[in-house]
Amino acid sequence: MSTLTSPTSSSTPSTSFPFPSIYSFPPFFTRQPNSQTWTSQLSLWSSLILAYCRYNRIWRIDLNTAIEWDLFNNRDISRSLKLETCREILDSMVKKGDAEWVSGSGSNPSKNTSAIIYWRRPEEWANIIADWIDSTGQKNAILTLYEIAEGDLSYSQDFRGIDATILRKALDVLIRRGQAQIMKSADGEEAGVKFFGSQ
Amino acid sequence: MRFWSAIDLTAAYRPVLFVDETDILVQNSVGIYEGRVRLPGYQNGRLYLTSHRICYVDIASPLTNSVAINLPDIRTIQYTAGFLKSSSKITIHFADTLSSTSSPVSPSSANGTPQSRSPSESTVSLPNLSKNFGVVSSTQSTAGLISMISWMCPICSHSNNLPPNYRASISPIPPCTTCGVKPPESVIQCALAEVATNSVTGSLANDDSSSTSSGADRDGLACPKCTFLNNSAMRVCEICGARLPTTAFNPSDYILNKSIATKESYLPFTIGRSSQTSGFGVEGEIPAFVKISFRDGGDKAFYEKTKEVLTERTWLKNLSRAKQMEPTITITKGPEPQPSNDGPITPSFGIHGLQRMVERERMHNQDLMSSLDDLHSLMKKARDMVSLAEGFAIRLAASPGVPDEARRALRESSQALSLSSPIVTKQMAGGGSDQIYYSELARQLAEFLDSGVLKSEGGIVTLFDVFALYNRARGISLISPKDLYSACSAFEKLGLPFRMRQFKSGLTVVQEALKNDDMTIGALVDWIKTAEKKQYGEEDGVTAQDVSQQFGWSVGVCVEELETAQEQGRLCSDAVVGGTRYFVNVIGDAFWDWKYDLFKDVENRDI
Repeated sequence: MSTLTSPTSSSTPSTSFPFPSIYSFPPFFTRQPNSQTWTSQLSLWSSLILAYCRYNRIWRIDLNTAIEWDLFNNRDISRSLKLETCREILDSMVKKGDAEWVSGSGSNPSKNTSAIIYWRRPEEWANIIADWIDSTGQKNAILTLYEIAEGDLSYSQDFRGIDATILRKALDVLIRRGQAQIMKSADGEEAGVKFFGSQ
Repeated sequence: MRFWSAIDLTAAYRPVLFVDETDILVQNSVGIYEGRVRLPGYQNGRLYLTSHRICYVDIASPLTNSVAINLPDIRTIQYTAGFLKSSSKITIHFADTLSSTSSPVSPSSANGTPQSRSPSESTVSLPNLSKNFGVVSSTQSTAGLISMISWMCPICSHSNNLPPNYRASISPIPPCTTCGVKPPESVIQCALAEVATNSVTGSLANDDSSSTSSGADRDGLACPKCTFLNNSAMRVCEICGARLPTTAFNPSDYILNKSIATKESYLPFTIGRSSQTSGFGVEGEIPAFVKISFRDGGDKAFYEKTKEVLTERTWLKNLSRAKQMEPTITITKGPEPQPSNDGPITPSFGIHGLQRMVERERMHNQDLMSSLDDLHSLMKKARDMVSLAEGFAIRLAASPGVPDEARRALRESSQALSLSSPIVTKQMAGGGSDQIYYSELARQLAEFLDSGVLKSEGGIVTLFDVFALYNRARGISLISPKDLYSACSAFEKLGLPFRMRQFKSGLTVVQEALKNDDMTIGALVDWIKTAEKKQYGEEDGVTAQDVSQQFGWSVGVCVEELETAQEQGRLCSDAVVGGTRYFVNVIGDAFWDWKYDLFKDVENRDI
């Protein structure tokens, strides 16, 4: 499942990300007690997380390591986001469909530490992949999942290095539309996908 | 309104008391009658019994319809129990020569009450006064004036004042305050007779401009023995020591002028009287009594208490105390042009003045020493101490080169020492409900807060602080927290300019009623907006301590205000180890179109 994790997610991402001005506002790192302010704060944080992940091509966040990133630590004003606040923010992102918890060993969801960040929704990925198949003339060809994510042809594409789970969800969308079909190998493993192109 | 005179009210609609006047009883829902006629506009008010007066404060229009009767004017009071729809009443009869002579069936005689006058009448014999001259009743004026009568010591020529409670031929003859020798009784009697004749001749001279005066020329007084022309102020011939005929000194005039000139209302009733005398001859038909109707009970207690006060003649007691403190006032004001006759205030110049000053100094020192003996005596001396402190304050203010700190300390300590008016106690409410007590307490609290306490606390003060400050100012018979709470709850109902407010956390504060929460928070937020940039730098925000310094509120109040502002979404907080800092809320309105900001090109291509 996690064979295709992006190499960047494990190490500290680059710091060239242009943070917005709100990032330098100290109260931004404190959970605001006023519910209205908090709602606004939540949406700002989820925007920031999505932007940061997309900028650094991060597919999933592991809270235990991510909490150390400069995303959640503004060293200039020495403020950092608390872990529980961070979890709360991710929870709200999951509710909105911007993220998804990667369930651990089926234990209770509050123990989740890892989340997939959908800086593009699976539907968007599906469109992008379908366009890519069209434009590269790979209709009716059978591609392995690895080829889509890491292949030579996808090198310049936005979905290069895409997380396997996200890719699978995007493909599911295409299958539902009848534009693709999963090919299984003899031992029942998913071996590849065949694209039909849009009629 | 013949017997009632207008009075001043405090901001909290309580009567302004004279120096040394004390509150004794309060009663709600009272109406007043003059004679048998209801006075319109005076039918629903509070009645205060003080040591000097009975004050009526109207509920509906306190500023215009608040009046008082001076207790010394009262001859008798009479109680009528309520019957069916008529509420119980107290009838007050005035010592008016007209009512007792011209209307034979005056209520008091109808009831068989003997013409019992004030004790002074039976003892001090005075010439009969003709009513045509509109003269103040001799009985009463002497009762008021007796304190002003002075006699000259035949040994040392020092002019002494008769003690206010002096009764001719009953009280022992007081010794001279300077040489300690008792004068022969004839000297005192002479002095009494003198005043009596003076008051007649004086009033005559007043009414009739072609003054027949008293045989004293402008040049001076001729001695009957040696014919030496003495200064008209002299009482004894400078050459031969013979008694001189009396001058045309009018004591009642003198007292009136004196009280106005010095603004010292230690003789409030003399003012009232003098103004009332004018109409007496004309309105002779109106019966000389007023009625007070008690619509809400409390009548019996009020009656008893008033009787007690009338018998005790509390105004005289307080007067004698006022006289003791008087010299302090004279000295701070410096010598004023005074008639050289022996008035109530002895002149304080010459050797004698020096002696008096030393004497006074010594008395003050004694006050200071004896006050520290034990707490009880301090309580007793409290009022004297306060006036002493005030005296110091005046002197301090007058003399340059005194450090500001000393002045402030003195001012604050004297403020903390005393209330401007006598303390409100549960007894004052008499038989009435607690409600009267609480509303009176609320009024006094309002006066107390208004006197600068609230200002020094920044306009918002917690109930705990009010409790501590107010009880410290009371000194004795402290109030309970429950009393305070009930009194503060009554602020808004009584229309006082304060209100109690409870924060979300349960912290209760008292603040000015004018300032609502929005205004307070608005001021707070406005200040933070400027402070953030100027003083504290762009990112630092403000803490509760900063706010406390700026607005003078206690830190607890600041935290509550800040949290309320945050609750309203006008501020946001930054919780760090050092404490919570507050910022103007920019999170609430912020919006970041990150896709457009960062991935403009890509997005455009994609869509």
